[in-house]
Amino acid sequence: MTDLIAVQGLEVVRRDFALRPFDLRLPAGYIMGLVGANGAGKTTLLKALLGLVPASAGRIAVLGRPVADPSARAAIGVVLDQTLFGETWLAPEIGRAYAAGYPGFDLPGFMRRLDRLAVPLKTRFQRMSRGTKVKLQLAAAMSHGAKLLLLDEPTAGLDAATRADLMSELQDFIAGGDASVLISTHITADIEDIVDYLAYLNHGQLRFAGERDEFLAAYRQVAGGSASLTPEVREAALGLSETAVGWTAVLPVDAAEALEGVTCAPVGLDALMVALERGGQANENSVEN
Amino acid sequence: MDITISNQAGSPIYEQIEDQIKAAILTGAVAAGTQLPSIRALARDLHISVITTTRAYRELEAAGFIDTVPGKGAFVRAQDPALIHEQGLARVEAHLQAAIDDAALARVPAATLHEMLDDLLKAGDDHD
Repeated sequence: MTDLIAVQGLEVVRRDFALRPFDLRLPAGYIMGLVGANGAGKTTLLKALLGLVPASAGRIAVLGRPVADPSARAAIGVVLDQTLFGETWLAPEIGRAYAAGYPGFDLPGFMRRLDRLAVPLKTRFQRMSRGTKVKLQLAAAMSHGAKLLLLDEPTAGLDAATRADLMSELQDFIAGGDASVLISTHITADIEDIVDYLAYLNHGQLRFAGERDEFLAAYRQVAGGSASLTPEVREAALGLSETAVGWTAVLPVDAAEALEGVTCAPVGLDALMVALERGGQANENSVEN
Repeated sequence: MDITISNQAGSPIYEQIEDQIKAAILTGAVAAGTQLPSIRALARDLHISVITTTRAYRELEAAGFIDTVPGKGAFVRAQDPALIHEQGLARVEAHLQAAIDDAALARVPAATLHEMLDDLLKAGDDHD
């Protein structure tokens, strides 16, 4: 299986922020969610993959080529926060600008995608809602033969229906088995059902990179009565919530299953992220890559 | 073939898919040789990850329900009727044993247990 992204020992050191050395792999035909709190380094990581920020150490190969290789440009589609569109442009004009910039840009395909996503053709870019702007950018990113889509927080501020539409588009994109998506978000509820792989960033450190199911299976949601809240449980607990009627927390699976008199359940991605971000011990108990 | 999954069902999604396809095959709702949806089409239709559908199909193949042909897809494997019957018997026996264990906990005597079984069977006949 080809890796569309293969990163080894990548380190990025900026003036006031650093991504500590990490490995990352994304095979063809899958969706990877890049998750973590605001400021964790998700955008820096994406920029490093695009060659927009220099790496201080390590190797990056995107689509089997060194990063920022011009031959890979058309094969990588991006939806980032900044756009280079003129604010007064209309969708068809934006399409023609893309066609000028990307040889082989599929303009009819782009117009069909706009239609499917209900992007108005007579509205100036600056007047479009944020959701429509993102749909427009996605339509363009999917119309120049890209095999890899990189999206930076595309769903922030969008209504539920638009977010669902975007997720369906991403699933269509990978349906052929030879293209992949890397989507960064701090709204994990959007992606938790459809992502195959997960990369979890916390304060510039990649805490986990691998299959989503493996990440989730390493923890349990635990609830118990006050009597069961021993010092050992406190030590291991992430996102501990103590109330007058008992306690709940996320625990590593081995610790959870060793307890008696508590209820254990699988933990969802959203709940796990909250617990990991809150859990004071998160920095010491990092999940192995 | 219809497959319905639920995030609230309590069992993992891949297991729900597995169980429904298994049931469809065992009841004959899908004939041997029928082609199943592709792993990727199924993931897209159910709005779940490709790895999840892959796992469901892998488990089904390991359990002898389907065959996956590289480049072609997944197909229902012909089932052995004697084996299916045996598996059905084993499931009934397991349920009966569970009822016996519960009866012991609730101090329900054997004669009452037999009565309950006969009543339920009769009620089942009345509904048919």
